[in-house]
Amino acid sequence: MTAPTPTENAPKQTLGPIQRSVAALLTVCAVLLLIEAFDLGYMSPLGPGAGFFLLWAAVIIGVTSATLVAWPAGKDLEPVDEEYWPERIGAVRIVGAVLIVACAAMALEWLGYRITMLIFFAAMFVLFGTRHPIVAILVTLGGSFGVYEVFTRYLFTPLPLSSFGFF
Amino acid sequence: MLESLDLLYEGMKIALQPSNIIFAFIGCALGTAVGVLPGIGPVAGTAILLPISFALGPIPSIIMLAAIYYGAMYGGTITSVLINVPGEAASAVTCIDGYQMAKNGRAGAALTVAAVGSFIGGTVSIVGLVLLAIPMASLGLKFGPPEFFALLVLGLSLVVSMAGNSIRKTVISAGIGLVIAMVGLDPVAGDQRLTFGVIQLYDGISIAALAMGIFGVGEVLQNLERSSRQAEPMKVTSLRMTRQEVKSSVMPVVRGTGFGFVMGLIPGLGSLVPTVTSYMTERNMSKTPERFGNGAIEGVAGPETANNAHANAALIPLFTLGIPGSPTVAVLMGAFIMHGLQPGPFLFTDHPDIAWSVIASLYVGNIILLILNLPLIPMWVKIVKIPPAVLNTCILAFCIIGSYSFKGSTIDIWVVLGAGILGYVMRKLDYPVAPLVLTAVLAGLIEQSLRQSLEISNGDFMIFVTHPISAVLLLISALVFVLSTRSVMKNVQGADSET
Repeated sequence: MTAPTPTENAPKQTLGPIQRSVAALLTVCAVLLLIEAFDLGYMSPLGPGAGFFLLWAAVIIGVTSATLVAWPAGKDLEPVDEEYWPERIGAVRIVGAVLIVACAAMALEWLGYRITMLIFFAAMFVLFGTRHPIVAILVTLGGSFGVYEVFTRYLFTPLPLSSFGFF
Repeated sequence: MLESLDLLYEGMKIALQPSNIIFAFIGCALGTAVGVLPGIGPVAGTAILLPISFALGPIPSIIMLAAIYYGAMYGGTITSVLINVPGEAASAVTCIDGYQMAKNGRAGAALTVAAVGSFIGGTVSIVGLVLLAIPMASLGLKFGPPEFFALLVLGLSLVVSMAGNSIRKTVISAGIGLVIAMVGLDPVAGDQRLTFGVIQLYDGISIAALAMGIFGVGEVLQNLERSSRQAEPMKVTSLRMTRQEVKSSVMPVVRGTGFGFVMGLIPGLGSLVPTVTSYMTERNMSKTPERFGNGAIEGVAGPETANNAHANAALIPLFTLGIPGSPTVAVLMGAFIMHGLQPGPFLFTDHPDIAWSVIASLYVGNIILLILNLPLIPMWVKIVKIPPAVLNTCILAFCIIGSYSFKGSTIDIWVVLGAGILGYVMRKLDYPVAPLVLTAVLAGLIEQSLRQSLEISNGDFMIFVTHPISAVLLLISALVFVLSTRSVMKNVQGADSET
């Protein structure tokens, strides 16, 4: 048996500050839900009221997350990967992708499906970078104009047209 | 029994119509592709492909979606064996020995045993579905709201019991699912719950959009974190198994079928449990356990059979009781509802043509899967080589198209995006996401059955204790919850004393 190293002697804290902060945030949300549940009414003459399940959901989340907030530091809880933050390039990709999807959602009924998705695909390929520009162009055209044709013509599923009359 | 066979025969006539065979074929091919593609699992795949089925009638639509579901379960095997990356969670166990077999030059044998085992497991489960459909649906018809409530609570407690060491996080995840299910108008009083004045939320949050966001967008966001390199798949030379390999695979396939079938009947158990149970059993029963982890064919045959047997058996609670056993089955349930059908015992009385033709199509689909997969392995290998940039962009685009198609409104795109961010954050913080989706599905049914029960009893909660079936089910639920909590606490204390 080898002698323990200093790292092994250190308390093994598996509930880090981020986990604890998230648990605290969940506890606060649970309290807000509890207030909303009481507003909606726990019981009604017909049985459980509109706030019945919400109240129980709030209690479940609140009590459980509160035990996480109050969990003693250094006490082993469960294996947790402490590497929360992605690399810079990864973070840029994630934020970029979320923003592009959000912009697409905002533009869809204004620019119409085809133009929105043309821009969407182009923006995504710029963000992610691709070594195959021809493939990217084909996917962009297929994903915008091609999918529109398939959905509207063959699957009878309407996709939005632009508000300015064409495309 | 004869009645079931008669109805199955009628269903088979519909399932064997050329158009339905084509939809089953398309579903199997799409499903296998979904399973093969890393970063998109069966839940996301089925949810994303829902809109494609909108234009079809209920029968071809559900036939295609069911085929996508079990196709995806098999597709995950291909990447597990050839590149050591499971296409979906249940195939993770296959990586252990499947990839080692591929490294030993036996990739073909691993894929063959997986395909044949999946076919046998799937087919036996469908036979079970045929045999159990009428008796279980009849039992379901005898169930009143209190019994349904208790059964659903049991399903929820099983979801929580699968938490492993993270029982608190599983409970929180289930709680969030419960909150999400509450969004919309209260079904009795019509009060607005958590709608924040958004009219489009009055109908509640679509389960398909939620699943698409949590599993589709969430996984894409996680993929974007790392600069992924394309994996180089192992070569497949011959698909032939040796006589010894066939002999070694027989019993694991039989046992895997049993594990998958039985565990598929239990809602909320998930597909990983039967595969892990099968693998552990095979290793424990083996006279040479040291071969496991080094390319033992039993380690592929058992879990893969269990996986497909479970996938098909998980449809039994859905068809007969209207309870989805897994997130993917929950999405399938969403497809039924979108076509104006309510899965459950009344499906067999109100729409026997649909129920039995879908069941019959499962046989057809399993045969198609067997024929489709083995000869086309080189094509599936090519799919693995799709550049990640193209793949991630296409998944996000499909999420936008799919979610817009649900209601013809952008609200579901926002739901998908929000759910995607939530799913990503939950994964980062080690919160399980499956309990959230399952609870969101079950909560609506639980609320409905609880309210109906209390209306019957004039608000007296004792109705759940005075009805023997519901009392027993609630007792089992409590036991499951207490036992799983105790085992987790023991693990924590054990780990604590080691530090």
